[in-house]
Amino acid sequence: MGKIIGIDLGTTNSCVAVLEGKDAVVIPNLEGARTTPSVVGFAKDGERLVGAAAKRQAITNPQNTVYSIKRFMGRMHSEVATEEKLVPYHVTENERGAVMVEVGGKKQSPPEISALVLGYLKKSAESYLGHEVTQAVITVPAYFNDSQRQATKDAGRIAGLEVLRIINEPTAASLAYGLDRKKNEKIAVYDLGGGTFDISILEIGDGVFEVRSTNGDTHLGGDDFDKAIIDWMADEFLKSNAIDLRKDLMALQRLKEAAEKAKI
Amino acid sequence: MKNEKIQTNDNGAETTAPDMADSPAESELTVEEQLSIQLAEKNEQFLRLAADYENYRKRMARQMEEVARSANDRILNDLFDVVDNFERALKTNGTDLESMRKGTEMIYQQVIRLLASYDIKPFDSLGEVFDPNKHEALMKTPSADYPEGCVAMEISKGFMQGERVVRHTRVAVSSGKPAEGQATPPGSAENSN
Repeated sequence: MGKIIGIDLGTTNSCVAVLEGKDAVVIPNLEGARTTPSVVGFAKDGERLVGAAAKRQAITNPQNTVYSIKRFMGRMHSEVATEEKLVPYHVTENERGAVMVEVGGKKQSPPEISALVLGYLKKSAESYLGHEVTQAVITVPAYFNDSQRQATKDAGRIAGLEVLRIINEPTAASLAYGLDRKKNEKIAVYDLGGGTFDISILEIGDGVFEVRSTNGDTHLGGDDFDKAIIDWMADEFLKSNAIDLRKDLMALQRLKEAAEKAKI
Repeated sequence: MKNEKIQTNDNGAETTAPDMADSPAESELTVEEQLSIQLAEKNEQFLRLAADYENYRKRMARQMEEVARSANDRILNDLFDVVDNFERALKTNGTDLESMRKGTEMIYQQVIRLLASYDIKPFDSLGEVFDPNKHEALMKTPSADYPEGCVAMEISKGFMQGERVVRHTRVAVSSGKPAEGQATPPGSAENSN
């Protein structure tokens, strides 16, 4: 019997893990990294790129590089007017009004795009485990509605994965900390991602989790921290040297690297 | 449950047979008793295996740490030689820029040789068609020298170990020839060194 993989399908990055004995172990992807950017690129020659490779070419091919697709999962086009303006790729709709993205010369649904990320994680897991993987558990934000959960399941199916369970992200985090063994407790789980910040209040009773409340900022994450640090450094330099480093792409790149390192 | 007995045939394989007076049963245990003994045995085996696995996992984790540490030590020891040379260079009081440049060049060559001893070599990307498996695009820039989609400038060098890319070359990708009369933008290949 093959192993079941657990997937955190994130807005910015995704991650796959498997149980080895009693512990969950993060599986490195095909490039050896523990997280995979949730980015898909469609090159002019028809090649599809997933993860870090897609991210590396993003700037050369912005209209055909899809990131943050999670923001469009299971949504109607009429619901995403604000989100649509924040991405460089073309967002449209199908005959039922559901979101579609037009990339690589054709209309594709958000589950089809997510399936490419899931497929890459599936392949990484198969290479690590040495056998085929056909079953998975995928996490979603606690605030995801039925349509968004169904879209996530569809993405799994398109990637060749039977999705055994959709688990709330805060519940999965609590399980990882062994909090299911506690009785009748209220806990707060906060999740600061690359582009989103969620907080959830859970109540545990006899191993059953109930999400009591969930909130957050859908446009606040680590990337904004980087930007704030870059701006601070650039402003200080501007004050002391009267040169705006943000206008020089090379200098800006070095500030960006320094900001990311400083944050960690 | 019917009162069945398990008997062992000549090959040692177990078969079940109805309790008939004329079939001499070697065991007086009922099927339930036999199965519960087997279950206890399997349970014992399982617990041993689980404990063995857990110990093995811990031992492997410890060994991995040691392997990583000794590998790091090797690299660090090689790096100390580089530090030595920088210290020697800093101790000289000369103001001769040319000999300073030569010294820096020698230390640079030492580092490149050190990397080569780990089979790590820099690779050239300038003018090549942009390839996300080897290059990381940081910007697009107009270029009179390189066609659209090719690497117009290397911002930092890429390194390979055998066929594996250890660090992708950070590049500016050409967006084609600059428009007539357009000044070369800052940070482009033409005015960088």
